Parts: sequence; C-alpha cells; structure tokens
Amino acid sequence: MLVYTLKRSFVAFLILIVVSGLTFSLSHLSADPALTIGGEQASDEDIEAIRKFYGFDRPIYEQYFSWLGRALQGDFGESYHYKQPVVDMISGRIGTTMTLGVLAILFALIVSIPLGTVAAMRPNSLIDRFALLIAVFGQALPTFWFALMMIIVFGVWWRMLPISGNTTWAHFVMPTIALGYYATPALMRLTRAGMIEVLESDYIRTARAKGLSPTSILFKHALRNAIIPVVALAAVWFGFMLGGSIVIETIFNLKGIGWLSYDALLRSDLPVVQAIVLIFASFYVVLTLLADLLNAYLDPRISVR
Amino acid sequence: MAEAALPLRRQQTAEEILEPSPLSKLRKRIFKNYSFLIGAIILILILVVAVLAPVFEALGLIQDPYAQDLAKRLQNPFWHEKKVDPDHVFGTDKVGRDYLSRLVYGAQISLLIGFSTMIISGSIGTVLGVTAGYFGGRVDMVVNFIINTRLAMPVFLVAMAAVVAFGASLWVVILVLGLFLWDRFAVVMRSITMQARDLDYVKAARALGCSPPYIIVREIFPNVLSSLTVVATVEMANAILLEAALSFLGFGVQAPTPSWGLMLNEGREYMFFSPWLLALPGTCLFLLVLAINLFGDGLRDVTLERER
Amino acid sequence: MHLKSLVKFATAAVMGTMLSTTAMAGPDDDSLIIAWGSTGPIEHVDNYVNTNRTGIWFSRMVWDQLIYREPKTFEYKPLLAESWEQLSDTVWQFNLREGVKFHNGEPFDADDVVYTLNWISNPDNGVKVQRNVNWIKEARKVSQYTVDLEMKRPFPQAFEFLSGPITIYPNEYYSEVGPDGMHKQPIGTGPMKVVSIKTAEEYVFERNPDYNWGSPKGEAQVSRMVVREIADVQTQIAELLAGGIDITADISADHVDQIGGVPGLTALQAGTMRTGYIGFDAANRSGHEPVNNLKVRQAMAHAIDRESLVKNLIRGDAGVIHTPCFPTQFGCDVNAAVKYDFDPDKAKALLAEAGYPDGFDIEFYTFRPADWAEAIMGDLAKVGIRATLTKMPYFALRDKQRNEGTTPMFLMDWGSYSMNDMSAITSHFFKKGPDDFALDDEVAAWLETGDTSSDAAVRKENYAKAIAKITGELYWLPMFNHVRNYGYNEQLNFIPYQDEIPRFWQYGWKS
Repeated sequence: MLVYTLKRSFVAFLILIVVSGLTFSLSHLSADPALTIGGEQASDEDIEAIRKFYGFDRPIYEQYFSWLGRALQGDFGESYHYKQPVVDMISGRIGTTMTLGVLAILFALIVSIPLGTVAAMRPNSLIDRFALLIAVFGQALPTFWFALMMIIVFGVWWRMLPISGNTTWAHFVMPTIALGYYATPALMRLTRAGMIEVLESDYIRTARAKGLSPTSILFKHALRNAIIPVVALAAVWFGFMLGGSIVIETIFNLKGIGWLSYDALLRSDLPVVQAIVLIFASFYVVLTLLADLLNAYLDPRISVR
Repeated sequence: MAEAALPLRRQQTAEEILEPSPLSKLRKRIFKNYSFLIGAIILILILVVAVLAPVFEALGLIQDPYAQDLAKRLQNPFWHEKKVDPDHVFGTDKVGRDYLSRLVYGAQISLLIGFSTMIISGSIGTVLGVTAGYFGGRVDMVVNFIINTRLAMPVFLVAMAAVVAFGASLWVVILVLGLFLWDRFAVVMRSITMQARDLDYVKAARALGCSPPYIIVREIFPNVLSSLTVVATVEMANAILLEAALSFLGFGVQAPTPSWGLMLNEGREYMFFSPWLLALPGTCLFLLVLAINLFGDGLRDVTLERER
Repeated sequence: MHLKSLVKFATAAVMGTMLSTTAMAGPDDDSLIIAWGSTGPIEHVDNYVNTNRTGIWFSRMVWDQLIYREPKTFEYKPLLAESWEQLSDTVWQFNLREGVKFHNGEPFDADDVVYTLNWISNPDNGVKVQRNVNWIKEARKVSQYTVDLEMKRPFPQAFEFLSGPITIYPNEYYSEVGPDGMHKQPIGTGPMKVVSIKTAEEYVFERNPDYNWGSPKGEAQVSRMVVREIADVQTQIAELLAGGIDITADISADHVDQIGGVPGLTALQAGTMRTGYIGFDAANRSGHEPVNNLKVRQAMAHAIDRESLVKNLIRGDAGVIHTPCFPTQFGCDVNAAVKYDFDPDKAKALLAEAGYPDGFDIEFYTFRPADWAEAIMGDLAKVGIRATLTKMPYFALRDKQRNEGTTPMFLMDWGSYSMNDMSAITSHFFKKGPDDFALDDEVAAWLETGDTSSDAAVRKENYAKAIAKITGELYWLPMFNHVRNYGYNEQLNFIPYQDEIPRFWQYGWKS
C-alpha cells in the first residue's frame, strides 16, 4: 500500500510538471512579456532592459526551470501588470471561488437528493417527470445563457437579487444556481437509482417487517446508504465547478480566480495564468489521487496490480 | 456546457463512457424510443439547411449573411409590434445584416466546428488508444500518462490561452478543441482494442505474421467503429458548446463569421432591449445540441444492442 | 399547516436579509455609486506607478496639480499654484496657494512641491511613465510659498504635464510610506478622501470637508461615493436598470437610445479627444505588397465611408477626423491635412491603376468592438478588397505589431493621455519609437523640432509639415474621434468632458 501510494503520488507530481511545462511554453508564445511590463509608453531601450532583467532573453526551458524551482517553493513570481506577488493575488481571490464552488455543489445536492428521493419513491409522478424534463433540456443550454436569463428575470425585472459583486450572501444566489444547476441531473439520477436499490434491499425489508415508521426507514436507513456514492460524485463535480467558474465569475462580476485568469489572459499577465492553471490542475490531480487511494484502501487488489 | 467547459473530468472507464449515461437515460424516459428519430429528424433538418444555404440564397429565400447596410441596423423581427422591415423576417444585426441568413449560415459553422473537431480529436484519440491497447505494457503506461495529463489540464482556460497565443480564427478554435477533446476516444479505443487483440482471428492474423498496422486497420478497426460513433456524437456536442462559450467570452471565432456562439456574444449587447438577438441563436444552439444528444442515445441503443 | 407557515417564515427571513443587505443606488442617502470597468482595474493607486487610464480619474479625485486646465476651453488656471511667471527659457517660478491642507492634516507648502518634483524627476525612483517627468531638471524652494522649477531644455508642453499627470504629494507622508503606503492609503489635497480600496472591486470615498479654498475643481457634491469596478458592460447595464448603480460610462451608442427610454434613467453621448485611425504597414514589415503601395492606400481611404460610420455607429457629436491628432490639440492644423472623400469609383480606379483591378486579400487587426471594423470591411469589400478580421486583446495586438510586424492594417486609437498638445499623439507614433510603423526620417525630424522649440510659430510650422506628409503618404488614415456614452439616474447633475476624464466629485443630486 505504501509503495502504491508513493508510486501514485509520484505520477501525480509528474503530471503537474508536464501540465505546467505545457502551459509555460504556450503562454510564452502568446505575448512578449517585456512589452506588457513596460506599459504603453516604454521605448525600445526600456523593453530591452526589461527583457534582460527578467531573463526573457534566455532559452524557454531555462526560464521554465527557474520558474518551476521557485514555484515549488511557493513563489509564483510577480504579476506583470499589477506588480504584486501572484501568491497574494490568488490567495486574496481564491476564497470567492471556493465559496462559489462549495455553495454550488451544496445547491446541487440540496436540489438533487430530495428530488431523486421523491422520484425513487414515486416514479412517474408529476414531480418526477418535471424534474427530468428540466434536467434534459437544461443540459443542452449553455451556462452563460442560463446565467443571463436569471439576471434579466431576478435581477432586472423583479429586482429580487443583487446582480454583481460578492459583498453579501445574496450576491452568491444567482451564480450558485447557474453553476450548480448542471451538476443536478447526474446527482439526481444517482440518488434515484441508489434509493431504488436500497429500498428493495433485504435490510430495508427487514426494517419494514419490524414495523419501523416509513420516515425513520427513509431517513435513518435508506438515505444514509444511498447518499454515499452521491457525495463521492459531488466531490468530483466540485473540481469541475472551479473551472466552470470562469464564465460565471465574469458575468456576475465575482472577483475570484476564475475572473482573475480571464483578466490576466486579456493582459498577457503570464505568471498569473500559469499559477491558476497549476492550481486547477492540482485540484484535479489531488482529487483523483485521493479517490484512487480510497479505492485501493477499499479494494486491496488494486494496489497489488 | 456542463460537460464541455468544465476542465476537470475523472478518467472514466470505457464501460462508463459507452454505458448509457444518467442523462441519456433521462432523455430516454422522456422521448421513449423516439429519441433516435427525433434527434435524427432535427439533425437532418439542420444539416439540410446548412448544406442548402447557398441554394436558398440563390433562390432569394435568404440573403448574403455578410451584406451589411448601416442605415438598416437593428431592425425588428416580424413579431415585433413596432416598425418591422418586410425584407428581414428576423430583423437585422448591429451592422444591418439579415439575421435569418446569418442563422442559416451559422448552422454551417456550428456543424463544421463539431465535425472537424470530432475528426481531429477522434484521430488523435484513436491512434493513442489503439496503440496503447494493441501494444500494452510500457506503451500503454505512457499513453495512460498522456491521457491523465490531458485530463489534468483545465480545458477552458488553456483553450483561451491557446487562442490568445495563436490568434482567434475558426481553424485555430477547431484545432485547439480537437487537440483537447480526444481523451474519451483514447480510453474507449484502448479498452476495445485490448479486447479485440485477444479475439481468435486477430490472434490468427498475428500468428500468420501480419504487421501490426495491417492487423489494426483490417481486423481491429471494423470492430470498434460503432463505439467510435457513439463517442463521436458526445464530443461533437461538447465541441459545439465549448466553441459557443469561447466565442461568448471573445476567445472564439472572428467576426464577421456567422457563428451562433459569436452571434450570442454580439447579441448579448442588446439582451435587455432586443432579446431576440440573444434568444434566436441560443435556440438554434440548444436544438442542435439536443438533437445530437438524442441521436447519440439512439445510436448507442442500436449499436450496443446489436453487439450484445 | 405547520410546514407551510415554517416555509413562509423562512422565505420572509431570507428575502428580508437579502433586501436589507443590498446597497441601493439613488439620491436618498447623499451618496453615489458609480460603475467603472472598460479600462480595467488600477494597477497601483500611486499615480506615478500606475499607467492605466483608470488611474487618471482616481488621481483627480484625491490629488491636485499646480495648474488647472479648464476642461472646456483648455485654458490654464491657478490650482495649487496661485500665479506663475517665466524667469528664463528653462525656469518657471510658481507662487503657491496658502491655507491648503492634505487629507492627513499636513499643511501644503513649497516643501511638498519641491519634494514631489525632485522625487519624480529622479529616474532612480522609477516613475513608470518617464516621459511625464523626464523634462524636469530640478525644483528649488525660494520661500515657504514660492518654488522655482528648472527644466532640462525649453519644454513648451510643460503646463500640459503640470496640469495633468503631475500631482503634488505630501512630503512628510510620502517620504515615510513610499509608493506602497500611498497605494494602501492615498493622501492628497483633492476634493475626495479615500475611505477604503479593494483593488479591482471597489473604491470608497468621502467628501474632503477642508476643500473650501476656492479650487476651480469645485467641492464634492455628495458626502460618500463608491466606485465599483465592473468589467462587463452588460452587467453594468443590468445594475443600472436594477438600481444598483447611478452612473455607467461604458455603454455603446445603441444603449444610449435604449437606456434613455427607461423611466428614471437618462443617457447622453459626449465626444472625446480619443482619435481613431487605421494604421498601415507603410514601412513594409509585413511583406504585404499592396498595402505598401500609396495608390492602394489612397484607394482604401476613398473606399471607406467614414461619414456613414460616424453617423450610424459612433453617433453623438463624433466627427470624421482628417488629421493624425485631435483638432483642439496644439499644432493640429486641419488645413495642413490631405483629405480623402468617400468615392468608391475613384477607389476602384486607383486600385486598377495600382495593378489590383480585382482587389486583394488583407488581414485587418483591431482590439475594439468588431462592428466598427466590420463596417469598414464592408466598405472595402464593395471595391473588391477582401479583408479578414482578427480581433485580439490590446496587449497581444501591440506585441504582434511591435515584435512581429505582421499587421498590414489595423484599426486603433489613442487618447493622448488627455493632453491638449499634438506631441502627445503624433510624436508618439511618428518619431521612430516602438509604435512607429512608418519610419519616415523627415516626419520624425519635423516633429522633433516641433516638440523642442519654445517658439509657438516654429512649432506650428513643423507640425503642419508633419501632418501634410503623414496624411499625404497615408501612413495613417485618421478616422473619427471616439464618443463616451453615459447612462445615469436622471435625478443626477451630470457633466461630461471632452478630455475623457470623469470628474466624479462634481456629480451631485438635483434637489
């Protein structure tokens, strides 16, 4: 098990190195960082001096390894545009994105578990059908479209919810729904399937035979078992949401790291882009690593393979 | 966009990908067994419209999607209660181009993006997957690593960066999406090739001394074609939605290309006052993606049942 | 029953908190909420570290200059300096105003001026835009309220800088905290005090109660002001419609009609000195044959219907510009320019003459809204020139232009940093700097003479020559001046200015 853990961690680490290397070369193709740093009025000599100072005249692999060396120590350099340490910029903004991600996944769970449960208990009821219809049609709609429609209806027509910013919890309502909405069909379906399976299982039948109340059976026994895979899937979706937040943050003017990456791309602010790509990639790698290790722990045969 | 713009995706198994997804099960419950039919009909309609667009134009049913008339900008569509221009059924856009014509030609662009992306990503994924599956061992390990690396990359962000690096154009977008959306192909091809490798007649061919490329092309490939088609529909829908999201943020195809995604981006400027500029391309996009999904579901049922 | 009332209660509670926590715009609490976003977040609030346009309105709120440039007539008036006289070709003497205080209570006098001018002119201190300050040789204290400013050479544009980018800092505070301290808590003499700054999110100001010494800038009209950075224009409009903000300055010309029709809101367009132009790769770095041919450039100039573009797309009081500078700017003589009228037939004839009777293909670059470029491409298509558009983010486009030079034709614009002197635009682009894509020695020499002479007549004469050659050779096809479009609460007293500098403190509620 230890060997397996080490092996998997090493592969995960290697993946991050490759991802960051690819991003690094890609982003250095996109713009001359010296021009970005110099600003509008920099002369040719200024640009040349900046190039020397930052080492942009060195071969790209050299630049990459010096960047990587510093990144491994938690130093992602300084933003070309804002002249602040990238770490500070991200740590100041990641909270917004995490809040949004957590709220969105909670929203998805809060919607999908009850709906899935109802659907399992009363298949083909009106609620069941309605939920299915919304899920299927919504899945073919772009997120940004859905977000804009909400702004028009709840923000402008009814003035129920604030449209932009992150000063209060109310500001998170629309972004949360827009982002969380897309996880609901999958989670709902899983709850429904799990519930049907559990409700037909022996121990629930036994519980029924014992004369336990339906509510107690549902909450204490059935749901508890059916919910575990749902939560596991939700954890994976959480990773999805962080990436999906680029569009949502831009529309709702939430200044999280999704917005920051968009803004940085517009300004060719490479250190920021690189750091955010690495963060998103790390989330994926760590989540999958944990999932794999959990699987290996539950099923020791895997680690022997 | 859900499946599309989200950068992180656990590496699924081939079974998971080919299994009817929760969503396709949902669709099936709604459309029963008509899903293939409904999907195919909408898809064929869109395809016909896209292919025949120049004919429609020649017949005078629609106009040149690039012909602009600044004096006639932002005309209202036919259902609007205010002044309506009979020449432009769906009104005009911000430089006075006929909106209906742009929507019709937009079908070409969306289908082109969907198909081309699918072909690029399909080729990459198939080559990687078949190689890994056929040779196994070290080769498999390397391919697996490549797949995992690709999955770890936040697609949307990296695609945006690539578009900035290479300049936005239709072909850059197609190429970038094609270079990203191959992972499902690779996983499926790898697993199926592994199974096929052990089939008797493949073993026989190998024993006869046929070269690996020959075996792959002649013996294995026909076996995997149906699964390939199923994955292809999924990725096509993905590519179309991703392009729309990229264009929406201004990192997609270039004006004046009549792409539905770009039209959404442009129409957004008028979302509060001329909502149809947003609603019309949005509806087209929605119908196309829904049709592809339904079509894929139906195809999955037909092909997989036959194989079982 | 039980459940229902619980749900009702919960809904009411949730709605209650939401409504109570949402700050609403409007005149009720003598405050103002403004959306800003098009020019992006301020990099650094310190005026001398920032290069972003957003910093310009910020600096006018918080700090003052020695000289005030009247925004309508462009006349120079006293601000922190009460009067001035020229002692020699290179020395100005300023008599400073007494009784002015900085926000932290520090009194304003010659020490602050001398400190600021000497600090910024020292290249070691790293002022970002060196051009703003590198003409200063030295400032000397003559008495507590008199300062001599010595320039390195005769510098005719000095007052444009002294009334613009050069703001006066408190010497004690700044020497203690430096640029980063100034970024955290800016201290100036200006009409608004900074309450809090959240970079890229919002800036909160309050009225400076001590700003009562008769500044021509006027006192603040509201007690509290929030400027919110909202990058997305549609989100800004949504907020305006929903009552979340009072002013937006980023909308398009079409929105002006639409927002103007909404009850409670009004909108207007105001021309600015931002000058749009089509640049051509006349120095032939892109290797694009046709564009290197003067006749082809002339054909394009005649093919583009600039009047229609202005009338239909830009609107407001925008106009067609014929000069590579804005006509109010010093030296920008419209009569010196070669003018090109809209004449597609002539364009076709010129194309045929140049050897392209069937037109040619060309790549067209911009970072501005695509519809302007699309309209231009539509006109070019009518004479057979097939342009394909590449829209790029500003920095990526500039990189492509400067480093690769692969942009045969581009639609761009320049705001001259709101300076009313032709050197702020023409000299930037045609003196063989990194943004010069014409590389004309003659033009560069004329501009150099114009920039450095202290004789107004000599300057005008040389600038006129440069204008004639730039337009004659069509290094640039000047297009139109940009318009800023504002949407705002109709109960607001709103004043737009041509120099693109919003003076937010002057906005107040109609009583």
